[in-house]
Amino acid sequence: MKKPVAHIALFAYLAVVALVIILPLVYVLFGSIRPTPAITGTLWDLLPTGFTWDHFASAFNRAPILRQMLNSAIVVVAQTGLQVLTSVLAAYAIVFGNFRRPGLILGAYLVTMMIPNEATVVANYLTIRQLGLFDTIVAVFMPFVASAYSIFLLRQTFLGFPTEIKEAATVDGAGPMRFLFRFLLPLTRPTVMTVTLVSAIAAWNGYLWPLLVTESPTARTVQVGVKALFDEADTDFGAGLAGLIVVSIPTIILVIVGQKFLARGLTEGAVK
Amino acid sequence: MIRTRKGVAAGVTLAAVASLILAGCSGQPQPQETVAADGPVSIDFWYSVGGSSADALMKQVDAFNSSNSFNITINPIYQGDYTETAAKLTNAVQSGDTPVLLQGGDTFSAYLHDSGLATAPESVATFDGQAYNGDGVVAAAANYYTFDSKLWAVPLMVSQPAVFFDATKLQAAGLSGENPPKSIDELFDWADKIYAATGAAGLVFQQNEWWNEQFSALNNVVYCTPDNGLGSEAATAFDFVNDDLVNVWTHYQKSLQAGAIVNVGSDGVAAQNAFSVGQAAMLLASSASLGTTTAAAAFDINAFALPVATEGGGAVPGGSALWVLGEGHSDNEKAAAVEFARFMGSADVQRQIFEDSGYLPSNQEALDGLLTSETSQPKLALLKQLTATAKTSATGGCHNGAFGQSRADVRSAIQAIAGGADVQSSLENAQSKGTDQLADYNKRASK
Repeated sequence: MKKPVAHIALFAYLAVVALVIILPLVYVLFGSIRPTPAITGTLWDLLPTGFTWDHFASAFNRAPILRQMLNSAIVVVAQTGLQVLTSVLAAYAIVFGNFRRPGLILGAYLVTMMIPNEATVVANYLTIRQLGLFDTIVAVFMPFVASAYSIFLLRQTFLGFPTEIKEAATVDGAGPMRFLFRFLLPLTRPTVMTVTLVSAIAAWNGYLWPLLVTESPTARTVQVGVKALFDEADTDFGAGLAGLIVVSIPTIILVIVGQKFLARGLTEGAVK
Repeated sequence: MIRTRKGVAAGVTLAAVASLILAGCSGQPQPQETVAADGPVSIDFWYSVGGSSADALMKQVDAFNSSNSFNITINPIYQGDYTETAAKLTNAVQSGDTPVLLQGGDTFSAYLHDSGLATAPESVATFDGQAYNGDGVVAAAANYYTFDSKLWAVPLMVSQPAVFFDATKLQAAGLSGENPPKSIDELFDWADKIYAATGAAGLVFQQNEWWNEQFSALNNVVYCTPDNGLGSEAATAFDFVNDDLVNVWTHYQKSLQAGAIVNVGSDGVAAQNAFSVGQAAMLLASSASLGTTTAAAAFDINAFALPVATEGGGAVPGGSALWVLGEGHSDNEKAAAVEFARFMGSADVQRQIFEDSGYLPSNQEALDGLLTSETSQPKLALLKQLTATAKTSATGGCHNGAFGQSRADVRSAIQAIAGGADVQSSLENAQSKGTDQLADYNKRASK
């Protein structure tokens, strides 16, 4: 008797949570295909009043969104790849490098986390200018190819790596690189995945820095492009909403395709 | 998000002061009479509006590029909103890569003027030998950008606050927009009456420091001394705590607690929405919100001007202006910039921008024409208000380089008042903090 009641309660709870999560997405989707005015700020906006592609046409006219999505994808891959690579190598060196005072080296990295981004932005901007990289995609990810936070996370995980495995690998003839890529990284995959995800999300969401170091619409990332579709005094948000739908498509596809891996990654290590 | 924005604002302030010191207060170069238009000239124009406002602006940029007779090409570059553009400019100052044309938000005016980056358009030698003449600019708009009797920027997209209302709800309380209130205190009385008569709130507006500045200007009182920073001397102190303002905020506090004024916190969009869905009979907001509220409301929106309590008072205009940043640019580039500024300030362009975006015209000829041709009641009310706004130090708005943080302090004071804090001491605290910051800014900027 108790079980069906619990099931219904659980179902109702999940339905409400699903509704809360999906409502803003549906609202944006409906707003992007409704004839002008796209939205009025009320829940009545969820009732269809017609259908139009005009807002999408307007969004593509205002900014080269597809090109900017490609730029964002390049930035995500380059920034994440390089950041994870440098972080893994640095953390490996700190833990297994046989330095006399590895804590000091880590401390030097951590000090950089205590300087707010706002304080370094001018210096970074001038460096990018002097390197002749201004208004290029490289400028967007260049300052973020190293991350003290990622190094710290990986170092903490590597510290807990069983020394027996390390010794066994060494006895079996594995050199440092073979040990790193064949033993260490596969066995610390949850942390590596976390570092990768955090880095990728930060790269995708970057706004102020890409805005500062780029000027031409074709060199900008999609976050900057979408912002140009909105204005505080705007009378119609249709084009902006259409832009949001376009830029969310890759993320939605990624989640649908990768949800099995994501779920596995999140639960890995939960039960041994 | 809030932390990030605060961080950005703090960074901008720091960088602004640093660049101010670096840029120094170099005197304006003496212009030549005429600049020879030798060959094509291409100049960068940093702009800060998006969406349909950007469409309206780009339409005019394209028109200029294809029609000007001096072979000038304007290269428009979107730099984010006004705050982000300010952040980028302070970076660009360090590397010497500032644009010669900038769409500056109203609150950034003091920095642009004080830093020595800007050149008054009338001081620039032009291609045709005719100096830029700002006589055609609407007096109230010109007032905001006039420092020491000189117009430093050409008002581009002008806005001004007003009261928007639902006539039916006013009628239910025996009130009529034809006979608007005579002061902000009376406006709050109206809110109380509407609430008493209908049970629904009478008024809504966001808790924002802007209203403190507007209420002060409506009483013809300068917000900072001397002369709101618009005279020959820089502002040295804030001066907004007086009996009138304390009474107004005390009334606000009572009406808010009673439910006659809707509490939407500091969210401007929430205020617009509350009005659009009929939660409040009147909305106190910028003219820029007319388009959004009209699209959203199921009733006809009417408007009247902000009530001017004292002669010489009035609503301070806002929006943006076109600045010529002459520092580090050739005479040719500056002349091209002024040519573009002339075009953007012309009657035809300003009329078109009003029609395309809803921003008020900054050109008197365009304004006069629209006053006879415009048929929409709220738009006409906004145009009439702009025409009637007196040109005084109070309506010119307070200008100083330390406004960023002091505005945040005033906002906190208003939020505290809304929460029941003592009005007098909350305002005095914000005023005293602001004055300290202002003194600090003046010291660092050697003002």
